Amino acid sequence: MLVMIRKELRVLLADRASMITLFISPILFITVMSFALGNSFANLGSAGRLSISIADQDRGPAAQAVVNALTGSAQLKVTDETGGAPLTEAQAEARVKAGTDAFAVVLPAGFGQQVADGAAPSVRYVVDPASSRQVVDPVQSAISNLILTVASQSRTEQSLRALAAGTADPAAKAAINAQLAKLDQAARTVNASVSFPTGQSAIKYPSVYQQEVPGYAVMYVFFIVTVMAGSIMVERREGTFRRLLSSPMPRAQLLLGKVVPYALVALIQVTVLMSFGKFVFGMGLGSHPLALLPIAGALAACAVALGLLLASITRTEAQVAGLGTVTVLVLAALGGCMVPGVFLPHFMRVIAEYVPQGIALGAFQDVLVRGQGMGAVLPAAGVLLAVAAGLFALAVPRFRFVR
Amino acid sequence: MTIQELEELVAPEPLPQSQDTETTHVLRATGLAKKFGDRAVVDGVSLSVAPGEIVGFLGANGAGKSTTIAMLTGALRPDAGTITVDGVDLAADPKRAKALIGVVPQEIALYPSLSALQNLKFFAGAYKLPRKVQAERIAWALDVVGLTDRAKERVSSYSGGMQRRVNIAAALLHRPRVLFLDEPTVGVDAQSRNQIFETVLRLRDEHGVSVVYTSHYMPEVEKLCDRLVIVDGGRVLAEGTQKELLEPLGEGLLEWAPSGEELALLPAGIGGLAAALAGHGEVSVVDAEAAAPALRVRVRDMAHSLRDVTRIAAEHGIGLGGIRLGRPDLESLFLNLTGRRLRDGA
Repeated sequence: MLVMIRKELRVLLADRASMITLFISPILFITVMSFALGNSFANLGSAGRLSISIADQDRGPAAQAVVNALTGSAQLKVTDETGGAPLTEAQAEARVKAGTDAFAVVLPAGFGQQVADGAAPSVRYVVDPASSRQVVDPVQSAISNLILTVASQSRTEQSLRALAAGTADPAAKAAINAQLAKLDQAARTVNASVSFPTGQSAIKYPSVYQQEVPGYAVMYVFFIVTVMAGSIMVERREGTFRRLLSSPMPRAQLLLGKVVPYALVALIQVTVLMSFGKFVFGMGLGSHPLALLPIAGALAACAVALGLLLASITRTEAQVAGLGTVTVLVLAALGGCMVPGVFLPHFMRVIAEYVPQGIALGAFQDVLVRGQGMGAVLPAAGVLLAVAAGLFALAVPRFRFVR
Repeated sequence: MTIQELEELVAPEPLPQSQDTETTHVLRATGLAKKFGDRAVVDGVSLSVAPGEIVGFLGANGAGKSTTIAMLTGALRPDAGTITVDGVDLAADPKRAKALIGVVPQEIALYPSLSALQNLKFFAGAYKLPRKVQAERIAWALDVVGLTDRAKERVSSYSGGMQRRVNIAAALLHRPRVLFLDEPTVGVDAQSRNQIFETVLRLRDEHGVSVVYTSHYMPEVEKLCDRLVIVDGGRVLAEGTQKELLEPLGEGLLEWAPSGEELALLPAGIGGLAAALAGHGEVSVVDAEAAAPALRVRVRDMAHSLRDVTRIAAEHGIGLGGIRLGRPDLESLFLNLTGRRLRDGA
């Protein structure tokens, strides 16, 4: 059988078209698509901080309290001054117009007086028309509520301070001051925690390379299907199978000698593409890169089994090229190799879980993105091997060396 | 490699001792049958090949010839019948039996992107020849087909004739007892064809290889083959030496196909014509029900027959344009046996 494997690899290496399909084409796709989709992945999984600006025209303690509350927010990136000077309304508008900020909050002169008088405080928002209303509206609403809260707190503080100033009883004064301190503390701290529904954990999103490299690796490993089935057609047409059937080599060895080299090539493909991702784009391979091996092996088995099935049910090279290419592309699309799962609708994500390409891609990303090890990916590798076994069981009884 | 070493390599080897103790036949097939679906493609074919014998295996397309060859070479399992190669049962011990068979398919069954040397190395490996022996056998096979100096070139760069010769070399590496050559000269020039003939004769004369040779070119079959087997409809129609097979044809075939108008001039029609020529040999009417049937006479004395034919034609005012003469050759034998020409197709 070794002699068959050696011959097959020699023939394949001499076939430039196949080498381009299997190695050069995925590298080009990975490169182009990574550059094209880089920005889409940049903030995937992290909400990002919304940029806003504040023009404080009042400069009083109440307005300052609002500015302080907003600048203290972890979700907002607030700009309230430029070059050490407070931001003017015109400057804030210019930032919004330039797209630097999603919107600006203008606290007009007299804001503090309105708060002190117990009147509804005036505030003006300058909004970038291109900003997502889904993001801006809730933030505006929250800021409006914050302003009301700050105003209410400010009035309470003023009342308590007036009360403390008017009492001579040290015990009463101390009690009022303690209330003021609590009020101040309550305004500054919120005990917040985040939890997920039972059984679910935080999603760690891939970088663009951690999506594109394994995605196209999985997709192009399956192109071995058309290359292998095409090679079988050529052997039938050229009569080399007929000649080999007359040699003492058993049929099983002949068949294995035709299948194993392509499985090896698929493994080399995965290795080359992952190495390309790592060494050219600096893609992380996770904490347990060796765990990629069982997935790659099972994936290769799946691909050659599908190739054998294709060669078993087709009669011409044109049929192999047509049916093979359509099958490979459709399965790659269903498996999420072309479009990341996070961008797919729910039903497509469910389908991907049952497609070999989707199973393999998920397992690769478990290793690359989520740092999982051998134990975590073995179930996926087992499913892929079971699929491969099923495809072989369908293909072998139908396979004919000579038609 | 020195010339002396090369000469030692290409020197005739003594024939291996036959393992068939009961007969002298190196290949024997009995009652071979094969059906595809309900269609019987081969129906009870039996044949045998003696050591050093070149047997021509003839049949039109669809006659069952390729299927029979596929079964004889182990590429296809027969539904019935037995095949022994040098006394080894092909079904019971395929490994040993196949090691005694060499096959040169009609196609150029090589890998065109590899060199001749790489191709031969691969086929030597497929026949499990030890590494040391491989180099010797490859050098010998390349010498036999005259391609030693171009062995490292890609097969795709060769001419059709050179590719055919490598195709033969690949079947010789394991020194087979019997070599199957399926249309080995298709698409080659006269020079390459002659080289292939010389190779076949050299294998027979110097190495005692038996050959089963199929071809549509009757002249090369006549030139090369010691004995012929003619198949049609999945059965053996005739078998024997050329002399044995051609003897019943007498001096040849005379075919007379008068036109419809000419037939009308004959009072007794084609039947009368057949009766008039009955004394010259075996007479048969081809397409008797057709508007213009033909008469076929296997004549004993061509000159005498022609004299009578021209006399009858002159008497009835019939032209001689419908007359065809065939010398007693394999083409006319095949026509006589099957009613069609060898290259008529199915």
